[in-house]
Order: sequence, then structure tokens, then C-alpha cells
Amino acid sequence: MSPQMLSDIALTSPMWIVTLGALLLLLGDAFTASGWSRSFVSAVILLLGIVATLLTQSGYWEGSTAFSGTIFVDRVSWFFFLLIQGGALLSVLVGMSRLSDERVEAVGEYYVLLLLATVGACMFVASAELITMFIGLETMSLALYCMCGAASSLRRSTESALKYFLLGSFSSAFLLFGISILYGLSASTFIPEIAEVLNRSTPVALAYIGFGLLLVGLAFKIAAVPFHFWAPDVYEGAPTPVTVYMACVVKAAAVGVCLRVLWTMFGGMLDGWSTAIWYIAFLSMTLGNLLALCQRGLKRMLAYSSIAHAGYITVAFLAPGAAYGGGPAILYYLVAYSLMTIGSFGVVLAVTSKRAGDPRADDISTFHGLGYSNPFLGILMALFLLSLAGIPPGMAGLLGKIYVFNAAMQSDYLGLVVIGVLNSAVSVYYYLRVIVAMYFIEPKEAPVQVGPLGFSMASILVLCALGILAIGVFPAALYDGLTQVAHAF
Amino acid sequence: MIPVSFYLTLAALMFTIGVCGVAIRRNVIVVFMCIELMLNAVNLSMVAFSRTVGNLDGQIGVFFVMVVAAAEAAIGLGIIIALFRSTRSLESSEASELRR
Repeated sequence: MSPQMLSDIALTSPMWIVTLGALLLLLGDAFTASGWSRSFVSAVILLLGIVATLLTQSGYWEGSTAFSGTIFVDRVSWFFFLLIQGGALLSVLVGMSRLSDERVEAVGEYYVLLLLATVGACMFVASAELITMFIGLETMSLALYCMCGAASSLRRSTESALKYFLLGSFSSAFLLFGISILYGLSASTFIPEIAEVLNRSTPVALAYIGFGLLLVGLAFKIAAVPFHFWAPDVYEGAPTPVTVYMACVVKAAAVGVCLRVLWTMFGGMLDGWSTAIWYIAFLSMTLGNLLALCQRGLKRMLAYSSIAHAGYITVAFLAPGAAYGGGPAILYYLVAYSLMTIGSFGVVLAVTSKRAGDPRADDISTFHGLGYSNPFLGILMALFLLSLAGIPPGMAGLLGKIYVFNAAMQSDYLGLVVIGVLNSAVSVYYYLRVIVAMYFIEPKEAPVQVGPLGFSMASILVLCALGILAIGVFPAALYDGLTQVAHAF
Repeated sequence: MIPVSFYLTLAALMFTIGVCGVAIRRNVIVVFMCIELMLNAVNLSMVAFSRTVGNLDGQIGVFFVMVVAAAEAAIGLGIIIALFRSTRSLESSEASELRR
């Protein structure tokens, strides 16, 4: 192997380590009996991936590429590697004690798929070349389709896998057609070269068509309206540990790719695409929040809320880079959103997994009186929901929204800011409804049996809560760091 | 020589037929075939573009797309079999437990 090859492998070692770990886990699972914890081993593999990111990628602050320019090794990749692997690690730990309750039988395969999906997400976000990006996207998605159907004895799990599979591959075909058109236009599949070609001349119609097709594929993955309709069904039907994983990791990876595509590749065409993004942000915020109002199932409600949050993030796409604060706002929002969403879906998992066979297990009536029958979960859930709504003491969610709206204001999108603020006000209703159910409504039947949480789940929920409080009360250090990261655009 | 616009028009038509098929057909196997048709339309356009722009990147891309399509077929048919076991039907309207 040439020295160049070795240094490329070293630079992308977070992905190699997790891939090798997944393959070894698969072999170990096939050739040994039960008696060792697959979840613990996969958590260790993810931890090694995080350590590898910190060791190898931290030195490349100025930006570099690996494998003949197909993989970006820069601060954006560094940040998203940490976010994706960290989110995956938290979702493994929060769900590990409840997998059998959620009817996931093939635990070994489940974790292998989870690790491979994490590799795919890292590759997706680090790709500097469009075919590599497509391979990363499909590695992530194909593993996720299987994870959604992991509880194969439950019909709704299979059904969610089917819906996610059909709509997901439908959307990747659009993305691929966009890639093909951009290739025809610029004779290259490398993002920097395409950006150069697009900047050199006035954009032709073909560039807009290619952009539109790419946008359809990416908007599907971040679940933005009008490409959101898979999200509620899939989030509800999939086993809750998979929902936790999807809500934080997939959304983070897809937003990262959106940043690269919109700001790096199509940065010169900002005037051309701002209207489309404006409408996507407006529709996602409004429809997501309005439809969340009329949900009784918590998982479905949080799914619609994730659509609305995708809308808030999309608002800041209109303020490219770090100049108006759009970059750090989005990155901060992603950190806060990952913590809030792992926490809130984690509590839903804790409360509902003992009744996973019952489709009504996550109905809001399950949560009646939870604040008294289980004060620990009650207070954590209240914090996560307040943060999602953006009400103190959930400062992380509030600051995320302030940063995003401030960035949009600086770029003169006052109308969108007003719509966003009104939407946040609407969203308070359905978040507070759960808190009211937990603290002010007497349960009609005996309170739900939550069962022992286990050390890993309890500690991760506390960790998420502490994280929200920490980045909410002391945002300056994180925000400054993220501004540095966003200067890469 | 056949001009490249012919290939691109054919690719666009195939892609549109695929999109329409996904939108209107109810049998999940047929929907899946329509998605494969969309992928193959993209393959055709990539090969055609590869010829016009004069490098091989597009043709190499097609190989990757074919591999992904095969993996997608394996997983998709697995999911469809799992669904058939529980519903005894291939109609997507039968998969309706989640839309309440």
C-alpha cells in the first residue's frame, strides 16, 4: 500500500473502525452463543469511532480531502462525525435494555445494521463527490429500512419498513437523477468542480432542474413538507429505539448534506433557490405544528414536531455561512435537537415498551398522572418538552430558535421570522398538553407499569437533560466553536 | 450517429413512467418495479452524458447504481415477503394499520 493510501485510511479511520467493528460483530454473533452483550460491544465500537474522530480529524481544521478528493476531511466533517456517532451511541445506550420488550428478536443483526447505518451517515455527510454521496445515502437508508422492520412479529413494524423503503428509494431515485443532470452539465461529479462550473456562468435551466431533483431527495430525508408524509407512519410503526436513532442521526446527516449542497455547491445560485427554501420552511413549520395539534399518540405527535423542527432549521438555510449566523445557528440547533429528541423519545420508550404489542400504548392517556407515579421520568419529560417548545428552563431549544430566527432576520426574511414565531406559539399547546396530562389529570385506571429503567437508560436520560441545561445556560463556548466550524462554508 | 438528446428524452420518459407508476399502482411489487425503472432511466441518462462530456465518470457511476439497485431489490423483496406473511396480500392499501 502506498503512503498516500495509508494516510487516506488514517484520515477516514472513524468510518473504517465502525465498519470493521460491525463486520466482527456480525461474525461474533453468528459463531458464538448468547451470553455476551451485543449492545455493549456496539457502544464500545461507536466510542472507538468517536475517539478516532478526535485523534485523526482534529488536525485538519483548514480542510483537506481523502481518496482522490472524494471525501472531505474538514471541520464540518469533524463536527458531523462527532454528532452522528455521538447520537448513535446515545440511542444505543438508551434503548439497549428494552429491545426484547420492543419485540426485536435478532439483536446481533440489529446492532450490525445500526453500525452500518452510522457509517453510511458519516460517508453521506463527508462526501465531496456525488456518487460517493449516493452510496453513503443508500448505505444508511438500506440499513435503516431493515431496522424499521426489526420487530418482525409486529405488523406495524413491517408496515413502517415497507413505507419507508418504497418512499425512500423513490426519493433517492430523484436525488440520483439530479446527480446525473449535474454531471451532464459540468462534466464532473466532484462538488468543488461543479460549484466552479455553476459559478462561472449564469445558471441555465438544466442547473435548476438538477438542483430541484437533488432538493427533493434531500428534503425527503430531513422530512420537510411537502416530502414529509412517510415520517409520521414510519416513526410510529418502527420500534421506538429505531425511532430515536432515525430522529437524531438521519436528520443530522441529511441537514449536513443540505448545507454542503446548498451552500458549497449551489452557493452562487442563492437568489435562484431562496424562494423554494422559503416555501419549504414555511410549509414545514406550519403543517408540522398544525398536524401535531390533533395527534393523540405521542410518537406520532413527536414525529410531526420533528417535521416542524426541520422547518425551523430550513429557515436558517437562507443565511449561508457564518456571516449572518446561519451556520452556527443550524449546528447549535442540531446539537440541541438531538439531545431533546433522544430524551423525549427515550422517555416514551421507557413508558410504552412494556406494552409494545398494543398500538395504543403511546396514547396520551398512558401519561396521565405519570408525574406522580414516576416523578423521575415526569420531570425529565417535562424538561425535554419545554425545551422542544422553547420555554425556560428548556433554554437550549429557546436559544436554538433565537439563533435561527436572528440569522433569518439579518438576511432580511422578516416575514418568515414572524411566521416562525407564531408557529412556536402554536407548538406550545401540544407540548404543554403532555405536561398537563402528566401532572394535572388523574389516571382513570391504575398508572402504567414502567418497570425498572436500568442504569444505561436512566443515565442517558439524565445526561441528555444535563446537556440541554448546560448548552442552554452556557451557550457561548459552544456557539463560538460552531461559528469556527461554519467558517468552512 | 443518434444524437444525445434522443437518449435523454427516452430517459426522462422512462423516469416519468416510473414516477406515475409509483403514484397510481397499488400492488407493491409493481411499485417496486417502477422504482427500478426510475433507477434505470437515470443509468441511461448517465451513460449518455458520459458520452457527451467525454469522460468515464458517468459510466462508473452506473456500476455503483446497479449494485445499489441489487441490494435494494434484496431488501425490498425481503420486506414485501414479511408483509405478505402478516397480511396475505400484496396491495399497499392493506398496509393501513398506521394511518388512523
